[in-house]
Amino acid sequence: MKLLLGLVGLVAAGVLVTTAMADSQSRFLITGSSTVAPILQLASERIEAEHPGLLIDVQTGGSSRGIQDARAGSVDAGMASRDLTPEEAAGLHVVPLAYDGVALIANTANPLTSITTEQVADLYLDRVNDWSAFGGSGPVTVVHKAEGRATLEVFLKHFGFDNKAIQADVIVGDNAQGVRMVANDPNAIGYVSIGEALHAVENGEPIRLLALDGVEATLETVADGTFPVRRTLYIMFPESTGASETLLDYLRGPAGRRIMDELSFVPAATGTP
Amino acid sequence: MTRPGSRSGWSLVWAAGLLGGLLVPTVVLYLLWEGVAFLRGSPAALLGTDWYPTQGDFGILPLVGGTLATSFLALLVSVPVGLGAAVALHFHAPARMRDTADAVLGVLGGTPSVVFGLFATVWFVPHLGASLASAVLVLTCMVTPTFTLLALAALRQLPRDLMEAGTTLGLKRSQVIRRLALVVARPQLAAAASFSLARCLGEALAVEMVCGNVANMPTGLSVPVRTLTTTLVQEFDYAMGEHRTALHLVALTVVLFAAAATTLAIRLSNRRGEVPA
Amino acid sequence: MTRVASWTAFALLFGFFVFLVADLVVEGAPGLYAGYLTDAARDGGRAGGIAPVVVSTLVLVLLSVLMALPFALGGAIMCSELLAKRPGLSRAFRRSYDVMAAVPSVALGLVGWMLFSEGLGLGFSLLSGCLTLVLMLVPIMTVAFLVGLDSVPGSLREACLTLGVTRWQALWLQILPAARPALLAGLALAVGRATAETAALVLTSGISTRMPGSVLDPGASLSVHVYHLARDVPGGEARAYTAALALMIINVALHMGLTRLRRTAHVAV
Repeated sequence: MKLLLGLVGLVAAGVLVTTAMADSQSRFLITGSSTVAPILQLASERIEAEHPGLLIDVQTGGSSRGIQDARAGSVDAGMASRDLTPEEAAGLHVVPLAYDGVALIANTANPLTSITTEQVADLYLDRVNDWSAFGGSGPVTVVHKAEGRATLEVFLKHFGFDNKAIQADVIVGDNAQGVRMVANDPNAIGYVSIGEALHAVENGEPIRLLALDGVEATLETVADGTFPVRRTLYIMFPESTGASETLLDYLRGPAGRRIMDELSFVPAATGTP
Repeated sequence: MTRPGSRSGWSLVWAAGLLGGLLVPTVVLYLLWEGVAFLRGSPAALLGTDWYPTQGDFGILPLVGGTLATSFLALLVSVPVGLGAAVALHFHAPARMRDTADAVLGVLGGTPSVVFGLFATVWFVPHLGASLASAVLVLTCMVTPTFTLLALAALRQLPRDLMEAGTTLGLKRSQVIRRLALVVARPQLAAAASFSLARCLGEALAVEMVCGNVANMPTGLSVPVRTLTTTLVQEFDYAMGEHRTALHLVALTVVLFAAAATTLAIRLSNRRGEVPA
Repeated sequence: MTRVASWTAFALLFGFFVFLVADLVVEGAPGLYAGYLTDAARDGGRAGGIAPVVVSTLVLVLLSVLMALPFALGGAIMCSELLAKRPGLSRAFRRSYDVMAAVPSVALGLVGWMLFSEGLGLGFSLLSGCLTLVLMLVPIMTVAFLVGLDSVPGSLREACLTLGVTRWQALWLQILPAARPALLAGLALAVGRATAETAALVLTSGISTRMPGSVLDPGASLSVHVYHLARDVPGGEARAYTAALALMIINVALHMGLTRLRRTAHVAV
């Protein structure tokens, strides 16, 4: 009998915990690109502190998912790190948030500081397998991105590669994982969001952004449009609500710009479109 | 003496039991349903060697190859090591040592696989690269304790008088172990290996951290590979449309593999070993 | 010959264990400090403590075990008591529980996402993670409970019936108490498995290290946190080791509890 009572007590406690924790506060749900997510995560933490009662939930799942969810109206906002097709954008309120690029990165132990389009092709299309071809030494570890990521699409599109022709040594998921892979392997080459890479360099990660065809990968070259692999980071809303206006005002205002600065993105308002 | 409460009590037991019993079969049926829907579209595409799901290539063979290669190669190391350790513990070790070893094996067997994954990213990947070899080693670390525990249990089930009978026949201790004990326990030891295999086939994250995730056929130990489970981990969040349906089929495949290995293990463990003439 | 080979294998396996533990302690211990369990995670987990992770882990593990308990207990009682006179059916159920307990958790994660996160609209949330863990735990717990119920001698059941006690009373007053150590061992096993689980949770309750405000918020369990730090966070290894050490300590404690329960279970039978 004691056991029965114990069980009933446990279940009751569980139910209590559940109901106590399940609140009725309204939440603002954002899904999509993991490149854009850090901006919204930082913004939501600060907005929530200023606006008690507003809960913003940021979840990643890729740009295409963000666009699809926003189109279906199943979320309050979607995030994308690639351009939307006209069909995708129809009926959505699409707002450019920031400019970003996709940069090639190497370990700081690698003497390479710049790379050409030709060399990128050599490395990714399996024509060169050892750094000795470019004045270094050691077998190349080609870090590539998993299917379904916008960064992959931007990379393939810019260099005109067919994904099937690429011979990768490691396939990673999001940008941070790409940075980590290159930071841990002196012979690795990878490509990630410039914002993420600059942020990692600031944090002391042993990676270097390679100049592409002579153009340095910096906030300036992304801002003035000279860095060749550039993209716009978007947020899109299925409908305008009080909360969405609050969020948008915040992101476009000085506080939003500060966040872009902290994360090494170029605010859309200050860059060359 | 029948109280009114007991009747509804038994109905509750029936309801909970049936619901619980049907829970996971329903899950498998759901995967089957989605998988068959995909197969109706393009069954032949599945048997290709190209896995580029966003371009419509759903060749599942490299993933199957990766899963089978990592799991079986891991067993190839785990079984001799685990069997040796079990024999040492059961036949040679003093009782005190056996208790300590049981505790150590229990702790290792219950260790979350990510801990082995972390260990492998630090100790294996820098030397072996993200490759089949690293994936095999991480599975070996994970599954050897489990196999050893199961092998020990198999040896403990052996009839006590077996050893005595062997000695009376004038066999040396090592002969008794090799020609008698291990032969009689063979079905149970095979069952232990099969259970371990099921665990290897289904492991996802520890492997994903070290295997490289490139959809190659496993043609060499230094080749980066991708398994059925790691594909789910890396792609599912980002998959849409046909890609997502294809991943249901990937999940179904790995569930069937694990179920087959487990069923085999259960069959084997119920079988009696034959004493050699 | 057999002796040397077997001791070599033994030395390999236990040498590995010593090396693993030493590695975890050497790399992980420096990250431990007084506020490790009570401070929020900072800088993506590279600094600060693991308070949100502790809360998420507790919610995930306790809630899922509680939710799985009635189904598992019902299933075990059904097989051992209700189907006692239908051995074929009972065996079929048992066989299916054994196989279900071996379903790879990552597949359950996928189904959990489809059913709970998308189907019920829970998204990445602790609740979705709990429900997915229930799928995983029900067969595991049922199998463990059955071991306990099967070890209760049939003579006890007959004795109850001859004394005019109803089967329902016999179940609650005699059979379950007799099986109690094994039932508790099943619970401890479930807690261990839920704590160790990662794949199913990465897909359903997410990797967030923010303090969950409710079960509808996402939250990383300790295992998921180790995975996230070791895989996605540049420079996250040191903290991954600390979290892994914490996980290992929990694992040892759970194992010690389990061993004690199993010992009493044997004495009781």
